[in-house]
Amino acid sequence: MVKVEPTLLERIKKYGAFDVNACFSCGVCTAICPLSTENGEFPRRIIRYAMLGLEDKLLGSTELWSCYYCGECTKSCPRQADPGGFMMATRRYAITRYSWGKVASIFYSKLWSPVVLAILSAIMAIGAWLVHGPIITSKVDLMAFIPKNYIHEGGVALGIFVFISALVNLLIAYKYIRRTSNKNATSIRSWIEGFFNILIKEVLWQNRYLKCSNRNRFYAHMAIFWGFILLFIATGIDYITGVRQPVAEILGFIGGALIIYGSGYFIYKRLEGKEEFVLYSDFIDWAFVWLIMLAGITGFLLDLFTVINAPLPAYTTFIIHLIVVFDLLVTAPFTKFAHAGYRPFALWIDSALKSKA
Amino acid sequence: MGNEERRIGVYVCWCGGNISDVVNVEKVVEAIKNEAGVVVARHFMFMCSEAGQKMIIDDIKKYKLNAVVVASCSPKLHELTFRNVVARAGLNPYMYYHANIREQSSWAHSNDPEEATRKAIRHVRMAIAYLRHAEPLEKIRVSATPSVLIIGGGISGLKAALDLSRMGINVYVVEKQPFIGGHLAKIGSIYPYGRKGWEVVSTLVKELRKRDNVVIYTNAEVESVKGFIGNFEVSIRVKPRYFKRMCKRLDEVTKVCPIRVPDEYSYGVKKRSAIILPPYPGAYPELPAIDMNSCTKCMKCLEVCKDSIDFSQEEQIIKLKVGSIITATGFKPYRPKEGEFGYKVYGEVITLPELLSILKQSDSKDRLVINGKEVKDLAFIYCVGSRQKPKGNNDKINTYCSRYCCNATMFTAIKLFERYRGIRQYHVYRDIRTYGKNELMYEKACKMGAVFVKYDENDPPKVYRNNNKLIVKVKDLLTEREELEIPVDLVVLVTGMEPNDNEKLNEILKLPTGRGGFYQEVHPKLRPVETTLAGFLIAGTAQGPKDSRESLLSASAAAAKAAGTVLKGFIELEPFVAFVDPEKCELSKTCIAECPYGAISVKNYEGFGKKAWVNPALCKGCGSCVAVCPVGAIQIRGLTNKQIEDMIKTSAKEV
Repeated sequence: MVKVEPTLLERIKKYGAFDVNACFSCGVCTAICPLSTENGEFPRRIIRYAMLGLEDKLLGSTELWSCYYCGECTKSCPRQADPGGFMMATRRYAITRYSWGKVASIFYSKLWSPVVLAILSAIMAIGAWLVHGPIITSKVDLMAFIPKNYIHEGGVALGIFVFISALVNLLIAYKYIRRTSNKNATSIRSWIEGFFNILIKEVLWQNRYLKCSNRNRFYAHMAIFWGFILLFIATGIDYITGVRQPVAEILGFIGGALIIYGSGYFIYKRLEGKEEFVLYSDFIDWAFVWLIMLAGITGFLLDLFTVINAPLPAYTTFIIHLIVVFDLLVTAPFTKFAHAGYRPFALWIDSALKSKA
Repeated sequence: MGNEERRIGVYVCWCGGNISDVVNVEKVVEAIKNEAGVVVARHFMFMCSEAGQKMIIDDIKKYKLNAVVVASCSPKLHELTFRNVVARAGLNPYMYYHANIREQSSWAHSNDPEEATRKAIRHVRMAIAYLRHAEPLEKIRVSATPSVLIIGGGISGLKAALDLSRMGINVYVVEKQPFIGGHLAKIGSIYPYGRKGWEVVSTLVKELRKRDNVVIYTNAEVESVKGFIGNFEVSIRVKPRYFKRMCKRLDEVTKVCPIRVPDEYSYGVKKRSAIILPPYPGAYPELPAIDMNSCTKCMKCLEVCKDSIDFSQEEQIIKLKVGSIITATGFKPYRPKEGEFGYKVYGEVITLPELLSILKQSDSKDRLVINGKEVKDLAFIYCVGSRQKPKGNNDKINTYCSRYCCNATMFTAIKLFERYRGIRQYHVYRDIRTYGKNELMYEKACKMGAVFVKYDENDPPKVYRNNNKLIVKVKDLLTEREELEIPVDLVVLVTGMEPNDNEKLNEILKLPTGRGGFYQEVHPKLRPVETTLAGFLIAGTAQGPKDSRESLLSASAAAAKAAGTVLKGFIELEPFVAFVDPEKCELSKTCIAECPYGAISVKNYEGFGKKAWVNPALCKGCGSCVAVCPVGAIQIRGLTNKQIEDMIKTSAKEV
């Protein structure tokens, strides 16, 4: 037995879902949804949880992460209740609730989000200013400009923070999902099988995204994802070998191009504002795509200035690049970026657990 | 039977294949063409078509036919068509017989064409036998009094009265209560436009008061109705008001009266004295009335309004002559049983009409206070007293949907949201039936934040108290039957409509009732305001649940039908009625006792003395008298014993 909690919907409506009250639970959204299944019925039922204020059920619904927001439901809703926008808003809400100390709500506050981003950027800038070495103007020497050990130690600290934050957040999400799931735990084997299944199908190849969305959006999303992977590999090679490797150069170039293309597509779509999935964007949603774009562009410029040997522009770009990448990574467990963790995680739990009856 | 030779034409219709695909129409024609009296027999694709009708007319002229059989569809569909065809050819329209070989042969026996054909032949032979003894008949004409009685002074009755009055027909309205206006006068804003219910009523009253051919009796009831369509004699009993003129000290006089009883004009939300004041602005009559059911005749009121009150007034019986009677006795709101969803157990459980009465009187603009407690959360429980399931005992249940309630609740929900900011509403429903434009109210209520919870009819919600809140416990059908606890300050039971308590009137009028005890129309689509009793029409919610708009529609329809009856000055009835052969009648009076319509009386026949006599205007041709007459002195015109005997004999003949 649960008590109805009418304020839940009002709280979710701060993150979008402005028209969801119009919903009368007809289920057209669920019927039209290419991803909804008999066991994972959404958006209708998820809207219902929100309307009745069943917060545990809502946050424990892995269906939130099954949705790729193609917008078919919003297009066909007879009451213009925007179920797709509701799912998106609820994911935003879930990100704030899953995060430790509900830190993520800062990033979804219209007032605090820009402020915090500015502060983070300033910290990075000041930090760089404090630790910077000699500014050699005869040739580009980034390692001299910011000594390698600072990059190394700063990177490790950042990595640990992001990793632990992400882990804690995922555990909180897991707690919600397990608390309300009507499914039973199964063997270790199915967890392992599920892990690889999801890794290949949902992470590396994202085949359900293709099922739901138009191809261009799928390509753009894949481009960002693989762009990050390639950049990560390139950085790793550079880092391990200590010198710039031609292989890393090529991988970095491809990766950078991919994320510029991918983020460019999403920025364009958001600016155009025609399709359902971009009807409403929070500040942090905008910041996310722009940061990715900036990371790509500054990465390129950095290479360019190194090649043409323009030291001062190169150092400036390097600082900006560091700030952007820092902003992007440090906020990752608390913003839209967090979906990269929650989505595969939820799908993994879903595939590993067995339905009760 | 006349002296002339009977010359019959027989026409077998294919009905495009509906008949001929099963029944062998050629064989039918072959089998009957030599029957006694048959001059011509044909079959044709569509007898009802222009070509088919012309064929009959041409044959009548060419072969000098004096009777026609068409074997085709149901007589309900085309009997009148072909009666008119033979009439156009100069024959009496009753020299026609319609054999139904579609519904009764081809459709009923589509799996056995041979038997279907044999049955069709029998049908046609019987038709021929009927016509062999048929005689020309004339419709019965009775004169009609150009006035109409309307029982019930709610909006339906008043609207019908106004319509009829404008057509120049005298109208008498009889209202049981001391004031006209019915339920609509008791409530404030009504959907869809938010006009006040009593404003609608007082608009009608204002119009009616301008008319000089409308008489309204309040505190009045129908005592008896005699006669028949066009010529009803009605007597009504009018109870006195005991007020002969207005008193200026009404406030004082109601205070001085020691009686306090629930006030029916606010659904019992307020109390009133035994002196009932005009309940709404523009109410008619303007005079107060004393309610003798609660008055103890303490005479204290006389001390205040000595010149106005007159306890010597007496009941009056008034006799009226009318041509038609419209029954518009309305409904009563379903009253939940004690304990039904906590009604009468918890003070915070009320019905929708009660809530509307409270809202009508509530002065506070931004706080809804009921029983001294501010209402911040409220739940509506729908379908209370409607669409009920059998409980396994003999309790009367209402299986029907009351139609208006979903809409009225949505409208109320919107009003509440507009008036009381921050109020939370839970609508615990079975199905939302906001049909037509009312859907927009449903959508608006949703958008304003009403939460809808769907319950299972087999597992209805429960209401109980927990500390200072009421809890509505309900399983939500739209999740996984999640069991919800809804804490609220007020529970509103959305009650449906029930027929008014009309036992006495029903004994007088004998109107047929249908589902749920409401008055029954002849046909929901084709004859929606007529009853099987000629001259009796029904309007408004007496017929079944309706909203005010639909009630007004049916009132206008009933008025038009009544006008159609009385304005011509006469009424034509089918000639198939009983008649007495005074030579045979021995005045056993068995038929008089048997007749369900009181159509038979004793009359002096010239040369025969006192014998039974059938009033053709009252007789329905049911045949009960024919069956009971010990000497066979009474028969039905157009269905005489001889006709029936010959039809039976013929039908038994080998095919």
